[in-house]
Amino acid sequence: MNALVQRLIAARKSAGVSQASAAEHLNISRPTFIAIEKGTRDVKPEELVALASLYHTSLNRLMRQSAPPTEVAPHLRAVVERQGEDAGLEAAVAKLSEFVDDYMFLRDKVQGHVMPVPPAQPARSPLPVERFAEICAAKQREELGFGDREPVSSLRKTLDEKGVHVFIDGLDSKLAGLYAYIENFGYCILVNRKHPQPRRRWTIAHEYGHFLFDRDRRGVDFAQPMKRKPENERFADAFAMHFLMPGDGVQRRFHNTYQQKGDVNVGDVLRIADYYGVSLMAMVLRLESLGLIKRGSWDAIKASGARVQDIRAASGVEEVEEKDSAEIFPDRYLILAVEAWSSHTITTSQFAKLIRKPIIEARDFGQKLSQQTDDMQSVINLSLGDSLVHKEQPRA
Amino acid sequence: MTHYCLDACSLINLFCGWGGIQELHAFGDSWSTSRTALAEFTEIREWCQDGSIIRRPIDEAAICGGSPLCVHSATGDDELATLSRLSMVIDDGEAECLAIAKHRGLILVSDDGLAVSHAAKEGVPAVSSIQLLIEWSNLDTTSKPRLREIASRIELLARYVPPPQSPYRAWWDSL
Repeated sequence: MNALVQRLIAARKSAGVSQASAAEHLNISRPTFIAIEKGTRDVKPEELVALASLYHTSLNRLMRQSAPPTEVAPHLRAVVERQGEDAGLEAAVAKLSEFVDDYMFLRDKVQGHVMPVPPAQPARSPLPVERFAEICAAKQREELGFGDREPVSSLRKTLDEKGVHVFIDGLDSKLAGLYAYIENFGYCILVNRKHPQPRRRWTIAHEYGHFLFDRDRRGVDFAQPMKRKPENERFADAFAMHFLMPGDGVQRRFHNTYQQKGDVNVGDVLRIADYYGVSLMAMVLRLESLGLIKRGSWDAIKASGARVQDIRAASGVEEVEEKDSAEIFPDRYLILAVEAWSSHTITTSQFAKLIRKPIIEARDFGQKLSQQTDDMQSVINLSLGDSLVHKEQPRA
Repeated sequence: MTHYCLDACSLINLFCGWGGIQELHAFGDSWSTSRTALAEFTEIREWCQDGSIIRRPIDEAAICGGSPLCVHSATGDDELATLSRLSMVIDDGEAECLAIAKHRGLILVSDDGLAVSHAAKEGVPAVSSIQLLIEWSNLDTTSKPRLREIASRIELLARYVPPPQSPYRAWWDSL
């Protein structure tokens, strides 16, 4: 089956159009349409144009030389069926498939680009899964240079450098994120933009936990946690907790606060949460688990009805800036897109669509990113032996 | 009379430079774009009174109103065959403009290196929006003094500067 036929089938399924409806749209019989999808009858140019319109896709995407990333959709669709309710999953799966397709298209366009090899899967341990997650988190933190105390400053960028592709886009509010490992591409995560940044960081760390524990599965995580969590979910949760909030670091920060003030209140915990880029709830539960505050503290805060912004205002804790880019695409993807555009390998309209921006905004974005890259290049070109003071002798 | 077909990027450049495309009347030629290319022109940037720049959505009526621009769609077997073949290598809007230009004997207006190179392969003559601006400035004596301001609007509002390899880059820099 050629790439065009595969793309036509994938686009139809992604758009939720039946073969009968598509045949009717083209004013041909269903058997003739099926023959097109079997590759036994060529699709005519006017049919191709009509199908692109019906499937809400572009001809340029349908005519790509490579087959679409078929591995993403079927497995995640199986999750949709298991869950019994859609919750926008079909749309989310279609988005992730398109993002991966675009990434692979760009990789083909920019020659000589080497993708990092993602970390190996840790060997399973007979330890309880939560303890195993703690060990894995500590090892990952060490390998990524965060040690046992520092916050993970830019989680998305860090994972991008390890070859884990994190996409952020608006999904149904019930969805936290999706993850899939795709052969010859890598591990990709789609996170819900509608959730606040600390929640997104948690989701990314959680999905990274899945990557380490059960990367061969594809999965979906919902905003409301499951009542009975299977082993892989327990691992991912524990991994996210230990990875984002390392025990040593959190304890030290807690004790420093206590020593300075003689007490620790909810505003202080919010400061510690901000420092580690997690939600107040996540940090309170972490402190509870470490035995540093009373069990049930989070329930008490919740029962008080106080909102985080109220606590922030009352305690004089300022809003924190986003630690990570909230662009749809990871840095590596954007750099590839700008490289392809600057070298005229793709047109400006293609570039704009690939980064999901209107043309003028895409040009602006491309120019700024090129400038940043050039600036970085000029820094790299700086000889460290060069004098940084005036080369001319001072005049008398 | 010369007949032109503008792609989305060249249309954006001229629109932002002039503050509309009514100036196309001054040429006395015929002007068109494609339905798909026009659909890609969705947003403009404008100066506010305080000097800041804001983004604003724009629709077909605001782009074409009062201008001589016609909007065509690819039709017929030959145009559709060319469109689908070209869409393998360039985007749909550019492919439709180029297919229309090829089969209707129009000149493609494009500032995109890849689209222009495919126009050459198809035997379609192409010009850039900058070349049109230069020709426009020669139409009467009042236009030339406005060129610097127009180039500045294109640079800041359309975010376009001819690339370093463009034959118009030196001219642009000299403004």
